[in-house]
Amino acid sequence: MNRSLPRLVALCFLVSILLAGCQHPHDLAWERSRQSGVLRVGTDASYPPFETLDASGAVIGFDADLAREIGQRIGLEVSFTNLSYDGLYDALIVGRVDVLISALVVAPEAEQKAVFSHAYFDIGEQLVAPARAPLTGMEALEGLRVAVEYGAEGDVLARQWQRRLRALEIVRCPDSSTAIQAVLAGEADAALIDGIAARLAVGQHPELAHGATVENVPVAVAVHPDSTTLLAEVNTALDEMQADGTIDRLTAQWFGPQR
Amino acid sequence: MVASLSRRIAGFMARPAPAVVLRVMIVLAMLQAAVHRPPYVVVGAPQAVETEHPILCVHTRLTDEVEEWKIQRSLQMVREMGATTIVEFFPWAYIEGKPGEYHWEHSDMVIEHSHAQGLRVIARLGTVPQWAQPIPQSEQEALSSLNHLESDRFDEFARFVEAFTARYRDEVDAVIIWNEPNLAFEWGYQDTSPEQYVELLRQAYPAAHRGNPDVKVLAGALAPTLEPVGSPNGMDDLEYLSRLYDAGFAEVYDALAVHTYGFRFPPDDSPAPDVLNFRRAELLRAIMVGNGDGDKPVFITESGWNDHPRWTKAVRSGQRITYTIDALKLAEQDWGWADAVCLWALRYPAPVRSWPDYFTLVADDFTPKPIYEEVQRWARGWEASGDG
Repeated sequence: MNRSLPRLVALCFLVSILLAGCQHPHDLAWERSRQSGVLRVGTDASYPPFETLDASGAVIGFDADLAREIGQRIGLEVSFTNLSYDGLYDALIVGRVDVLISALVVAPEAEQKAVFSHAYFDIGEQLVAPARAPLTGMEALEGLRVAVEYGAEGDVLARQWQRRLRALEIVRCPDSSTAIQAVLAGEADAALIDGIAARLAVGQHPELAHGATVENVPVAVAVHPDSTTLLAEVNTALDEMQADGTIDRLTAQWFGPQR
Repeated sequence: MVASLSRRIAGFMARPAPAVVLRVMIVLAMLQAAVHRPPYVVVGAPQAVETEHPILCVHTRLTDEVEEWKIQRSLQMVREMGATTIVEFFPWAYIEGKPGEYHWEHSDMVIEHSHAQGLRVIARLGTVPQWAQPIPQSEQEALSSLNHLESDRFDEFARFVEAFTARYRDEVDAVIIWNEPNLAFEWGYQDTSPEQYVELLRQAYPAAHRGNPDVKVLAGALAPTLEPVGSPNGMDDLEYLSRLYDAGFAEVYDALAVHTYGFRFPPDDSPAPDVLNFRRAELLRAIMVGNGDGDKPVFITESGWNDHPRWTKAVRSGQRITYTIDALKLAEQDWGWADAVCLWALRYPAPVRSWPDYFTLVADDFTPKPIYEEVQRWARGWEASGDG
């Protein structure tokens, strides 16, 4: 038997594996939206200031403006489909919408049902402190008081840091607004709250400023796992929006000026 | 040196291709084995639960937990919290993958570690193996038949129940037969008739006692729901329980398993037939008493509150803590008929990244959430940290 035959078989086997890995699935969402000129955006419009409904029933908010900006940059009109939070990913999987833009936390484990764009926001826990006494990190809380929402993620992190620092007093509040009030009243030196509440607080109270981000929880646009072209287009648009200050402008518009 | 290495590589590559492929595969397998070698786990000396509130129980999620150290750590955290009891799911489909061929390795591991931690085990049994399901006639049926068991195969489930209770005669105190039978999902989207569930119990109940005469057979575990009779999704739990009694339920169970969640209501919210709240359990209890079953106990095998920031049925994190502890106190003081209150759930093997994650007491990386620490303080009799 010719000795080169087994090598040929092995080579074909390896090449077939490599080719299988290179195959691109059909990006139905991108093809459909290019044909129609409309990008269908799924959102749960019950989460202000990211998305909510105005008096006329139109979707408004940070995500709504972000979606329109993405649409404009990739040459598509945007239409919103208001869905329940539980049904967002199912709507994407069955092709009812082309993208999800709804303050969705990046979930790498969910790659069977969705893949995520570059992050456009971070809702992780942040320190908020008086602008005259900014805090660079949790280490700076040595001997100080930090206000948190009782039982929430800020409380989890504060308990961990209480074990690391020699002295850290935790002021537990029923919600993040009360934690901010504790800082304003001088009952706490800082608040450790989620990135949404932190931006709203800084936007509303000029005497407050952001400290460190203690935990990163990135938020991104979700697309169908086969939507590789659409994902690339969205990523390009988001990168441009980060670079030209559009994201910062939208943040200031919906959360108030940030410091 | 370089020339020698080049000669070796050239010699290796000159060998017949299948041999090269084989060698590469062996090397890769060895590397994988080295990387994925599980940590050595010692079961350790028997422990005892230290608690001032033995009513506390927690539902674990160890079914899909592969790594032994994670199973052990989960059960250690249950004990350290001061819970005396766990509810854990032992799927029929996982254990009897082929008729009559039982694979007990994983369940043995869970039971052994539970026993070592001094925990009482309530085992939930269900999920139909593929061989016992009807052959699907369509793609839709193939997707929906996970729990589909025709009544002419109830005896095969009963045989599994007997094998389970016999094997764990000394370690498992109670078994729950099926889960939330008033939901269509739990029957593979088939009919949810209460009469059919009683038929299942007529076979499973004596089988469980043949395996272990002392085991308690818990039945019910009904989903709290207001679905009207005739709904394709399920049936109102109060209606379902009444119809169970009409079908002869009283003869085929030892204790009622109850699922009761607070959703957005505080634990002392008054019960009403059209409201889903924590004290809905009292309405189920009243049906038991009305049917002459007042002597049988109730096990609250699922309960709790959720603190997801966007789920419509969730509360704030601080409310979740206070509601949970107040519910445990209420059950302990007012529900003399309740043997245990089991919180859903200790931990998931991996995050779902949605509202179900906000039912857990411990993060997937074993970081205790504040609710874990506060329930622990209550159970162990330690001073509370303050509720803000």
